[in-house]
Amino acid sequence: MLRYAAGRIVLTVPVLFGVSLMSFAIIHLIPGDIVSVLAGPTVALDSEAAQNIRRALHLDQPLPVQYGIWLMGALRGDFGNSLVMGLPVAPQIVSHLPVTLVLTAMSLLFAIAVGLPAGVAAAKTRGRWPDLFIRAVALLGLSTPPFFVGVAAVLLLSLYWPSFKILSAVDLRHDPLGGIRTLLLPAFVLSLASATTIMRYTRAAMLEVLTEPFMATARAKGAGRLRVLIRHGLRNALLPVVTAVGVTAAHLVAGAVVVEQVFGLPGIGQLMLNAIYHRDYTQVQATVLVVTTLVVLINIMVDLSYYALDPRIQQHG
Amino acid sequence: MSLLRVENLRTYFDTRSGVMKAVDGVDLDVREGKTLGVVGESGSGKSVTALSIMRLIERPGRILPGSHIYFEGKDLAAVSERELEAVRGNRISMVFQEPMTSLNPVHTVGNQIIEGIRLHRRTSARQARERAIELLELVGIPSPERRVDAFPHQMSGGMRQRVMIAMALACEPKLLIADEPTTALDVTIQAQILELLRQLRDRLAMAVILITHDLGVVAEMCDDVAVMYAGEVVERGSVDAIFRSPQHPYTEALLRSIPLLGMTQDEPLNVIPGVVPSALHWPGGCRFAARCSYAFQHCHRQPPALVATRSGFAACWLRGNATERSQRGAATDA
Ligand SMILES: Nc1ncnc2c1ncn2[C@@H]1O[C@H](COP(=O)(O)OP(=O)(O)OP(=O)(O)O)[C@@H](O)[C@H]1O
Ligand code: SF4
Ligand SMILES: [Mg+2]
Repeated sequence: MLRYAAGRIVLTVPVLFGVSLMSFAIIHLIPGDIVSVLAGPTVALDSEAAQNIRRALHLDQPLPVQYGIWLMGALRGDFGNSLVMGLPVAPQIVSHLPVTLVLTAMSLLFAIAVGLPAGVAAAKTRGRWPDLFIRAVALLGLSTPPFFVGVAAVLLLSLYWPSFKILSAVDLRHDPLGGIRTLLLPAFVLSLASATTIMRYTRAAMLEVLTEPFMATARAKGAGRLRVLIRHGLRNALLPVVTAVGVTAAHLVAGAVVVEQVFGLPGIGQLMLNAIYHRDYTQVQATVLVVTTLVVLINIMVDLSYYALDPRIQQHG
Repeated sequence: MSLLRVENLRTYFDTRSGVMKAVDGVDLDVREGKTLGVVGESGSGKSVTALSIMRLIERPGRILPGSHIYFEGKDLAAVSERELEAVRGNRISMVFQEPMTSLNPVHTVGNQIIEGIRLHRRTSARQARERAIELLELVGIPSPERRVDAFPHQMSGGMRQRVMIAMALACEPKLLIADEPTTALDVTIQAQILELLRQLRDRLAMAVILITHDLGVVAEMCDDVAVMYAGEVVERGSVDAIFRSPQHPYTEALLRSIPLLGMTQDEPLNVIPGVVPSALHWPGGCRFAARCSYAFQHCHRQPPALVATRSGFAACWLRGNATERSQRGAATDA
């Protein structure tokens, strides 16, 4: 197990390297000279002021050097100062990250709690009304973007259930329970598409497993239907489902950005959007790096759970 | 004393192209402690019969009302699912054809055997594990204390089939149904598994239903035999009598197709000309008529019933209804 885990983690080093390169490159992909944006259009690009800005941001250095300086800082947890506020970026990230993490984790939990049983039920009743119903709802869930559901939920709830505090402040550190309560609705909205994905993968995997001879063996032993379905069926179908969870987790992180905006949640997504809006490039770089690293970490966990779930990998790992 | 009596078993599958009458009025009798061989060409309904006895038929299949499966004083065709679960794996067990896929790949073989034990016996996890090791030893698996924690993919086909047998024997069933237990295995392993089954049967005094393509195996291992053709039993009785004097032309043809000692496995066994009719629409009269060298007009018109013969029972117009035959006057000498 440890060897396998170590192997997976070593493999992610180049991935994280690529991620950092990409996050860094973003600043240079955006059209227009940063300095003119920062100093304002009226300042000449070769003036003293412009040169000072360049030097402060190491923009006078060749690109690889700039990247090196930035990466070394990032590794130490120093993402530089916000261009807009002049304050270090790192503490901002630390204060915004928990909301995003909790929101994503809760959504994932919802998505699994709904998608998994729904997929099993759909497979078991293939072609009959429960299956048709589940698939119809899923189609709806997949084709409705979270921002629409989010806005609709906010509007409807504030109209018909005004006492339900939708947009209350979230302070996970001092009021974790209250924070989680506030996050319930956003997490639910965010989980819809993922629940659909997980349902579909579960259904497909279960349909395949249901015809496996070992399912008949289990029934022939005298195991009850539910037991066969879960212990023998789902347990085998879980492998492709875990893949779905990995894929959908990446979408969740991306979706969190939107949902945070709709519900006014102080998460990384909000921080990132603000940074983009204000052209606060150091902040953009840092948030992009954190978010993508998060996705990479989720995928490592997915990989490790393969190992835990499938004895056939263990033999080779 | 008969342990299991199947009467008029009919199992149909509702498919897109119509109703598949896979098993269409099967009668069987398994005597206590004896072995019944079930033979017949591919598609004749042997597996569906076996699954039906344990009521393991899943959608779109259904066992028709009017079917009876008498076992230990109960009609399994009529009891509740819960009662059946108490019978399956406990009083009646089953070994399937495909050892490679019949074991669950994500659980250790030990845990799969233990599950079989603990579904029916109140024992501690520890005791069940010890019993599992005992069972593995019983079926001839070397170093069972170690193998109990192995996963199926770490075992050969023959070993897996031994595990399947161990699992089936977990609660010492009265009846073991083995559906072509050796077809998927190498020839040398086949002989070993059959020998194992024979030993265990004698030791545990179980009755066995052995489904096979191989009449040689029937001759060697079985007390009784039932010959299936096109979803029906066309002949049944004791192996001795039927092998000495088959009463149904299909049985006769099958016996003629047994490879003689020294013939290779590759030579075709199926020397009966023609093909099995489709389960979607069986022919109206005798289902074997199109391939029967004795067939006469009446055979195509009316299905013959299973009647007593000097070797047991057979369903053929040549036996039984003699007046009918002479009236038609088209019979060939049998
Ligand atoms: N799940 C199913 N759905 C539809 N038809 C089925 C199903 N299972 C079996 N059948 C049909 O029932 C008929 C009998 O099949 P069965 O498996 O009992 O044959 P068999 O005698 O065991 O043959 P083999 O020697 O090849 O194992 C076949 O025509 C088959 O197509
Ligand atoms: S009933 Fe007729 S066709 Fe059928 S087996 Fe007998 S002789 Fe042949
Ligand atoms: Mg079969």
